Amino acid sequence: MSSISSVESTLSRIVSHSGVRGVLILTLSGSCVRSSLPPDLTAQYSALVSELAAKAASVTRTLDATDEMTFLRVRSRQHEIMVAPDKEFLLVVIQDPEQGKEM
Amino acid sequence: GKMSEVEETLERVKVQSGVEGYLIADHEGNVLRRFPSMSASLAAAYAAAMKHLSDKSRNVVRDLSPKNELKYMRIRAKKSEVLVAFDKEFLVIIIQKWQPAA
Repeated sequence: MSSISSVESTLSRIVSHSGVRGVLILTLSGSCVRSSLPPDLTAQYSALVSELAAKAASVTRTLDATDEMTFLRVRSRQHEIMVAPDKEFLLVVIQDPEQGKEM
Repeated sequence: GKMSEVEETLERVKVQSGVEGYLIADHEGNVLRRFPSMSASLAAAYAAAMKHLSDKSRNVVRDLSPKNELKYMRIRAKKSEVLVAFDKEFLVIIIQKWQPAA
């Protein structure tokens, strides 16, 4: 992973996008490394999103053992959750559903 | 009716390159319609997998905000992408596949 300052500046850039409500960096087991959300929301998102991402990754492998999930997008009426997994971490961005209108 | 509207949309989608298959399932994971060249067992496997994942997503979304409603999910992978669109009665599942660049 990049140096701490470049991670921080990337996160600041993402968070400052209009429509972005929160950014989290989680370990694959769901611990939070960084979050722009307050502690209670951080705890909720960390647990729920890491489980969901693990499930999506597992489903991908079940359907094709040679394939590997690279991105997950869950759009609901109130927001959109995007998850990008990495070897060791999950990058989670929560944004308003109006952003990125294409499906 | 509703089913034929969904089928018309899917006819348009399937001609795009890379679309491997599509299916319409109910929320229990039963296949209602499938792209003809997709085998019944593959369609059933996708329906079951996406029903499972959808249930989980729906719970996550509602745990975060009880009145919220799931609209769609996109699961992108190295060789494939699956789009699951949620309707009151159906799951519409579209599968795209490609070869990763060498």
